[in-house]
Amino acid sequence: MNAWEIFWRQLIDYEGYTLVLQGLRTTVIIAVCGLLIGLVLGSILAIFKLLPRGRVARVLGWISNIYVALFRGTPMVVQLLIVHFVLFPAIGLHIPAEVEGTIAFGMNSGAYICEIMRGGILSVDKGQMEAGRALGLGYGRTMIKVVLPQAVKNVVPTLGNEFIALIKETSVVSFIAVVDVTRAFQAIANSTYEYIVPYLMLAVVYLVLVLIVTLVIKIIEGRLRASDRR
Amino acid sequence: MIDVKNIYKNFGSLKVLKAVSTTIEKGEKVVIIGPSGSGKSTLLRCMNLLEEPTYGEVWLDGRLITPVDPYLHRDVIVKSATFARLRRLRLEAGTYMSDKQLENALVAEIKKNDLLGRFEGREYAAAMRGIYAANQININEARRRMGMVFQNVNLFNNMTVMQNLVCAPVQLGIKTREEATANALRLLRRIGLADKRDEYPSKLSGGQRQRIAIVRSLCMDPEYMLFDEPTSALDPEMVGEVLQLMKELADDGMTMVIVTHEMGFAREVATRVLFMDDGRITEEGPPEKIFGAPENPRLRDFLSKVL
Repeated sequence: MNAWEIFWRQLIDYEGYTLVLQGLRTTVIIAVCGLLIGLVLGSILAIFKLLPRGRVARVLGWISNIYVALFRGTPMVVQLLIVHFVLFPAIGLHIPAEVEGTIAFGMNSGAYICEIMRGGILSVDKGQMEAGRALGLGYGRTMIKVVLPQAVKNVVPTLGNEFIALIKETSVVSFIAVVDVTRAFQAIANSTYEYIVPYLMLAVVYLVLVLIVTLVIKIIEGRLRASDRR
Repeated sequence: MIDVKNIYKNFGSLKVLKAVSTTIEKGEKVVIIGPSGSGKSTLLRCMNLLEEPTYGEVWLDGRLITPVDPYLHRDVIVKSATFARLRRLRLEAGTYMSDKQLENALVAEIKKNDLLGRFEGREYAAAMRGIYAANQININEARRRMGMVFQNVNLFNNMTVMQNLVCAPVQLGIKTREEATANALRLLRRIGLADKRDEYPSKLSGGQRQRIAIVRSLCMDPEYMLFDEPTSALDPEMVGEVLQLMKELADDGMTMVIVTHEMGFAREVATRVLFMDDGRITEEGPPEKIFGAPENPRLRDFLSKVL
């Protein structure tokens, strides 16, 4: 029996595929939810950094700076371990490791998305905010209705990049005993002592995932560009 | 009435406005002219607080838009710790002045040398807060009554023309969506651009964009309109249509403050012309006088270059 047959038998006959599908689902859910958390968190942190002057604004700006420094300054794996073994035990909360992982990834990508969004907001012409304010709209409302939509449009390619990085980074989630797609293929490899095919297949799975995401980003970008002159 | 009281504006060490005071009455069409860098636009932007003056106050119909400027309130200065300290020093040194004279002298000294600091005691702070609370108007409310048209148009790029026009009135709960849409459509018809209602601003010409920006301000039913060089960024052949619309507005009796380099327009529409130079209003008067018999040599020089 060659390596391919061994892998195939493990995958189909011994129901390895259930584990793979489950892992794939976990990977996708963690990545998507992580991105959503990161988007909300990142936008809020970016706005904190850009608030017009004032005492409260300065404090919020500092909070944002410290947050970004902490989460960009430590490895993802370390953050994951701290969330799982330190943070949640310390506050006495028992939630599934998958959820912990999602929160950790969300918080981590929030730091990166904060900087991406900040760049995006700064790339929107200052006149847009001024025009909104001059009409009597408040800062927050102008931000949400006028500036953020344009900022998001400008940063969609970069956000796509972040999402792709996030998908691949979720492979470290097995550090806290979550079965993601990497862990699933690892299990197959370990039970057959045949490593070549499972790991190559794992690479293909990630590649396909990323290609799909790339396509989706392209479509979204096209939609958002509708208001631009061609 | 927009009342500009003794405004100073510094950008770092650059002094852009120096002791500018003027009053814009209802129904007036005030045109501000002057060489570039003379502070025209900054003055206009101070009127609706897009720039906050370093010193001085702006009042809209008897309500305070800017923070309180203590230097404009004698009774506040008198309550300051600085005043008390100076007064004590003078009294200790011995003075021949009466109380009233001394007070006058000290207030003048404090004003002249900008002696008030950040913390001037409780009484002073209470007086400042008192004036603010009694007179201030929410800035967003004030801005609703003052439309502003920008040099670089600033239509919302992420919205269609119609969305641009109804956004503010609907968001602020001034009109229902139906009312706002009907009103916007009426105004668009008036400028002949009703067929562009669903276009994005990027698809329009400069002149069309600027006219729609003017209409966007009108959708808020403002009492005042501020124009910040509305035609300076336009191609020459589009200037006419924008000026035409502004002239119609003026004929309708709108109160307007216009910063412009269009001298012909200024002469035709203005009821009063302000000439600004080096951060000050150096000459003002009816257009016939400003353009016909200018007194200030800088104004004469300026006019000889632009006319």
